[in-house]
Amino acid sequence: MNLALFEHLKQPLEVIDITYSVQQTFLGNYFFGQTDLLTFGGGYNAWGGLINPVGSGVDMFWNVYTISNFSSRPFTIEAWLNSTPPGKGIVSINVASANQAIIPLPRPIVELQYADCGLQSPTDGIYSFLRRVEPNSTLTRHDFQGLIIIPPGGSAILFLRSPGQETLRSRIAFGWWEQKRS
Amino acid sequence: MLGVFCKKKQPTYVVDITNPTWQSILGNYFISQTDELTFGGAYNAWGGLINPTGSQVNMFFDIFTITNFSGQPFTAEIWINPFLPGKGTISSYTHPANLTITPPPKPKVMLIYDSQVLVSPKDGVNVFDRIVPQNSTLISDSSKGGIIIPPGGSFVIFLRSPGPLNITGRVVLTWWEEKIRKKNFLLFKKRQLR
Repeated sequence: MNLALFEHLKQPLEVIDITYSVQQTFLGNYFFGQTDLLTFGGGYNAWGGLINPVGSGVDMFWNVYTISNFSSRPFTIEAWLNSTPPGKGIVSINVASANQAIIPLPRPIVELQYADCGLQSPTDGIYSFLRRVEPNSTLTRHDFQGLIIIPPGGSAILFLRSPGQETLRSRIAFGWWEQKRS
Repeated sequence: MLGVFCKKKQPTYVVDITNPTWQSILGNYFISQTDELTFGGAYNAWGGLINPTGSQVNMFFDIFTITNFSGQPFTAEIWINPFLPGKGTISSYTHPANLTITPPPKPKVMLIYDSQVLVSPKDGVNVFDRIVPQNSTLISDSSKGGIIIPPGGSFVIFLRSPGPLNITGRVVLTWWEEKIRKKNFLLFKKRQLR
């Protein structure tokens, strides 16, 4: 009887459990960023979204989003997938790698774009889900984490439809990771 | 000598991919929503996932969200296997969460909803209720596959009229599907016949 071996078996196996998104941060594939202040209302719409360019060679895993409502009225945000951006977007410069320890710093291939004061609304793609955003608060509840996967040429857009006459202000942030297509 | 063997080994890192994410990578995960649901006064509304008889898949229910566009709260009732008279409409918003697969996977489970109806659920079980505050979206926790609906079963969110005021809402439901292994399926059928 090998007592030492027996003792060893009794020890539970210790593992460090890291989530998929954290692993992607370790690998330098995880990015986050936000839009500028978006103004909408009075018939004008706004949007912020992640655009995976055609031929990018990566799939985008949309992980999180937050939506701030700087006004005292609630509004609804519509999530559209693989739709053509409603109007020309500005590429956000407020984007960073979640892993700042890698040199040179990883740069995202997916573009965080936004636009406001637009009259267009999404016409194609999939209207996937929606959120009601309460006044003077930031919606942070992370629900569809790592579930929505967007191919090259696709997009994930949060669309702010003008709810009426009043002017509303919002800002949208995203977190995502990029994986080479196999 | 014993001490050497009992010394703690360095722990290993493991990457924990959640089952919902894994199912999405496989193309088994779906998202769908109802159209605008109106209720109030004498009228109710509902939206739910129906796993058709003979679908040969189990539905693993994951997340529901309920949006309240009105200025007053209401209570949503969650039902398992209710009988709801009337036809309902099949949602056209259903899509796989993984959009990288061509051709896109098609779900067996259907999201069906109905608005402005006088019916209430019969049979089935009202397993829990949720209050949906005004002007907000209630987001459930992920069930992580802990609610399993077999062929012929359903998971329904019933919006009962809370009073005379008209209310507008919208329901989003997500789930994944797994083929029933033949042996289990036959066992299940046998049990159904009994």
